[in-house]
Amino acid sequence: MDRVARTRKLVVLLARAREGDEQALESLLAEVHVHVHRFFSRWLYRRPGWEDTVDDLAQETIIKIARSLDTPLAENDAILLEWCTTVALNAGTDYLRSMRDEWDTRAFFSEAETLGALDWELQDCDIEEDAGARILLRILREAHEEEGGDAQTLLWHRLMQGDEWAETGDVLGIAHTAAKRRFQRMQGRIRHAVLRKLIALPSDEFIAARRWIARLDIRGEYTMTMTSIRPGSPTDA
Amino acid sequence: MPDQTDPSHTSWLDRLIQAYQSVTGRPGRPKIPPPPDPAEYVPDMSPPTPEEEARAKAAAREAMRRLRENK
Repeated sequence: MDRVARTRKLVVLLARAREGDEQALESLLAEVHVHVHRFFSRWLYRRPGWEDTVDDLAQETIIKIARSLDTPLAENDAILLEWCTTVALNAGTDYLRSMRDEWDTRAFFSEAETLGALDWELQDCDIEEDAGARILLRILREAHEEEGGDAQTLLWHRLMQGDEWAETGDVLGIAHTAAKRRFQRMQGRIRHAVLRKLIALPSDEFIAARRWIARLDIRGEYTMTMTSIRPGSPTDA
Repeated sequence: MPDQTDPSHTSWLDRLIQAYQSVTGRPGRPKIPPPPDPAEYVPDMSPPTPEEEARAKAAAREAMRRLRENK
């Protein structure tokens, strides 16, 4: 069966499925599954251990497609397969991002605990179920990403490499006193950005994250600032 | 090594940033592989293999079961 014939078959099945024919819907989903499974296989080809991921993604995608069959995009038989590809692309992107976020969250809190940046025992927390932990990481990531390339270099050399100010200044081509001042200014900006983002959180996210924020080794003035601003913040409205 | 008594080096924020950078620079961090470009992606329209067909039918049955459950 060539492409035209297969597309025509899909369109016929789609029309019958829309009329409530469950057998047609099941046949349509089987046809579409072959298509999206091939798409995911090409995307994630030869990645060891990802075979199950491809199967899971294809399964979830055909359910999304089944639930969206009334969308106008699915009505045009010329773009039916392209539309299925787009649904698969979005489903895959969402899944892979959430998978990396999960990995980041676990690794970050494990690392933070090792560094003594958090003042409680990690075992008390079920990170997998804790939206607040993810929110805190997201805020930190966003605040970090607002800084430019020089700031990232500065952070890396100072915090990760453990370089002296003089060495750090050499890398950036500035005096060691300038490197120190720049680091301190950047530190202030990140602190401010974290505070700003915490305050701007929707109420439910703030409540989820507050549990973690309270456990951070935060200076008293920071805590006071945060609690004094929060009750009157516009985001409560 | 930096002066450990320097408060700018030991603040909670620095330690959090250090943890974050350590994680994002870790070799085992999963990478999101770029998807095929949908504009250039040409679907493989060859007939399904028996394995593909069996897998697709099972997936469609499972999808129908879940759709009925959530009705």
